[in-house]
Amino acid sequence: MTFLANRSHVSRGDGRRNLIAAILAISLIATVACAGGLSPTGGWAAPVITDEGIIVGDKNGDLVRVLPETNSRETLYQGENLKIGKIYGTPLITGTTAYVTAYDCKGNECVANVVGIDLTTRQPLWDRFKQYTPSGQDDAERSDALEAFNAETEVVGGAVLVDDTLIFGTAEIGGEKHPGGHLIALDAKSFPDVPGRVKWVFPTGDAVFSTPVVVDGIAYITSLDKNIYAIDLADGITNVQDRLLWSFTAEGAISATPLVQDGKLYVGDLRNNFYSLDIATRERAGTGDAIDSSTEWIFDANGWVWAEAVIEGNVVYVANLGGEMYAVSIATGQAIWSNSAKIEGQIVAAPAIYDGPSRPSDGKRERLLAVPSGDGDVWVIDTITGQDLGKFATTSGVKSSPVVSGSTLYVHTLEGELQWFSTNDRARLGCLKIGNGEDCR
Amino acid sequence: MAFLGILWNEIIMRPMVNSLALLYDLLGDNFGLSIIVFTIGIRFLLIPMTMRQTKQMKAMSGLQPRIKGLQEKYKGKSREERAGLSRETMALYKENGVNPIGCLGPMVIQMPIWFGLFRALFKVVPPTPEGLANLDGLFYSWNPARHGVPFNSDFLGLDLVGLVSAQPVPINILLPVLVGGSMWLTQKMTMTKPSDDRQAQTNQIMLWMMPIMFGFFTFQFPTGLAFYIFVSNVAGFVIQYFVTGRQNPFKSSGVESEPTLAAVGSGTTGSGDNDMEGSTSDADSTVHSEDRRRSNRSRARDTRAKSRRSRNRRR
Repeated sequence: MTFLANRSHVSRGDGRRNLIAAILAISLIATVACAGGLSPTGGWAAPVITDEGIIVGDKNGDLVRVLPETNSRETLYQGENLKIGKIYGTPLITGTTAYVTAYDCKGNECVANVVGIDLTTRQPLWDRFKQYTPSGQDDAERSDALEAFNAETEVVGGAVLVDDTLIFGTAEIGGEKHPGGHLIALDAKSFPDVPGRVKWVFPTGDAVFSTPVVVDGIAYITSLDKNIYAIDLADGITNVQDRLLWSFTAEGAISATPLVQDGKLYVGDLRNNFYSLDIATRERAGTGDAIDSSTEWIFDANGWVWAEAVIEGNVVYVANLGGEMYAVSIATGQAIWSNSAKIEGQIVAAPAIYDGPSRPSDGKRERLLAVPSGDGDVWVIDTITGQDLGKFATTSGVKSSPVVSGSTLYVHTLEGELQWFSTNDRARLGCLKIGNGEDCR
Repeated sequence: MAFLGILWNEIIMRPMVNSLALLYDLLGDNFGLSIIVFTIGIRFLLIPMTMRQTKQMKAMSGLQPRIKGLQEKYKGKSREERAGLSRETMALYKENGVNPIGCLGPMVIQMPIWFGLFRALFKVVPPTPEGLANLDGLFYSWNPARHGVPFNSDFLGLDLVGLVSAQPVPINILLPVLVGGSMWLTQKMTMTKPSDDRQAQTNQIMLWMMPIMFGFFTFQFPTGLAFYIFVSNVAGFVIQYFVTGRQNPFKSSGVESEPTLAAVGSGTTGSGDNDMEGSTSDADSTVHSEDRRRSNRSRARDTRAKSRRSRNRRR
């Protein structure tokens, strides 16, 4: 340790160099620190096809209607002006109303917005600033509503409407005030009725990133707390815990939206598992994590499952986040195929199944999977063989589900563009920047 | 640039994310403990480099009189002739095995760690859905922690991923004060006797400006990064205590001191020269040996005076 002996002299050059280096270090760190990393980017919402055009909610909170015939768009709701936030969930269109969920963060303070928009007048159904403090309630009710839900949260999934009740999932509310996640039921009656009143709030152990699925008056939601919840939506239940019909605890966190069909619930987790749960069995079991192998199965998806599964016939198609697709037998839970060509990029959103071009030999159309890739392009996979048949070449990544109408495939890219392609030859037919209406063909 | 991105990802980000996640898994799902153990590990890994840096600083300071001699030699010479000064200085460095920027090593190493940790915190406990999805690609396949997402970032009631400014009062004040305070102490421990007024001024700026700036910037740091810097400074004190011996930071100002591990490891390289042990210059050795002898005589006098006072008190 002799070299650590005392020193008696200081060089001016050293001092200056150290000072400059220190200031440089601080400045660089400060620059990096201020650069963010906390803010959501959005852009995961799938387009919705209506008779009047294609409705898309983009990452800037704009809700627009695209008219592919004229390659134009009209703004239904200007997110930038009203600062609705980043839209992840696919807008819910019912008749002349659109319901949009969004959120944005400044630092780590996040604000969520759930708005109902009259598509005819293009006006919000309720004042979004008053939706959580509705008039007509006494102070106690008002306080309860505020206590149960305020806008300081994150909403990633979309909303569903059951009668006049709008249901959606959130993360923790008000920072640490209400930790975990929540399933919120809002009264969706439009102004001047009781607008946006919180009807009830069901707490979960962690954030809800998925869109609730409602079948026969029961909402199925998943949470990062590893649970799948079946929630009774019936009116007149005063104790919110009584709404829980059953829950199943998976091995990993669940971010995916469940798929419910023919009495089965299909969902994957972030521990490489894909589950087929029998709803009748779950109702008998109540709560728990044990699989009844006579009616249920678990499939090893070889990676985190984020995307919602899709079903065709007796096959469920499962995508993992690493870009692998599997066709799994609904009956046995065994893989029929895994795609030989691994998709480059993450699969975050559900694939679409559509009719491919007719075969010259017999004129029949093959059923194909359109699989969105987070790195770019929508990949085309044969549902029967799993063979990679080509791509719809997008110019940027895709984390929303493609939608097929007739022989046109529509896709919303992470760059905020709506692109549409012919399903026959995969040629791009049009491209429109959602934010400014610019033609991006 | 893509290549640099891959390098950054593979050399800094993925190892860091996997280390933090693995420690989280091993330490009972506790992110705060994970950061503490990670920080201490980094400090220990940097010890050899810190030692080398100290050697470099010592050797460099040993050459200062000779460099000054060279500067005197070229004083008043024309611009062309002064080019010889650079040549001779570099030759001197080379001859004595000194790298003039070698003393910045640990700092240069620490900077990517800070940047990496800032990013890694948000990657391990991502605040956005895309962040959580991207975490999948960062995990090594063998890392068991990949099955435990999402991680809990709470520690002692603090959200380690949340910004310091967003923490409740008085935590949002206390953390910057702790970071600035621990940095001030580190600086104080490493501060050396100034050789002239200008150096004294530089020392004062280093002593006060850095901690104040860091304290100020801490408001915008994630709490976990502030926690890392604070723990790193504390670990520096401990390493200083056990490796280089106890040193009272409040007595080092204005007197001779040594380059410490605490200072260099925390990214502040200290500002001063070393003594002449190991110097290659006879002339310099003479000067510094004289300094040392004077210093030793001074210490001896102090020790004798203390002993006398102590004996008097006992009486």
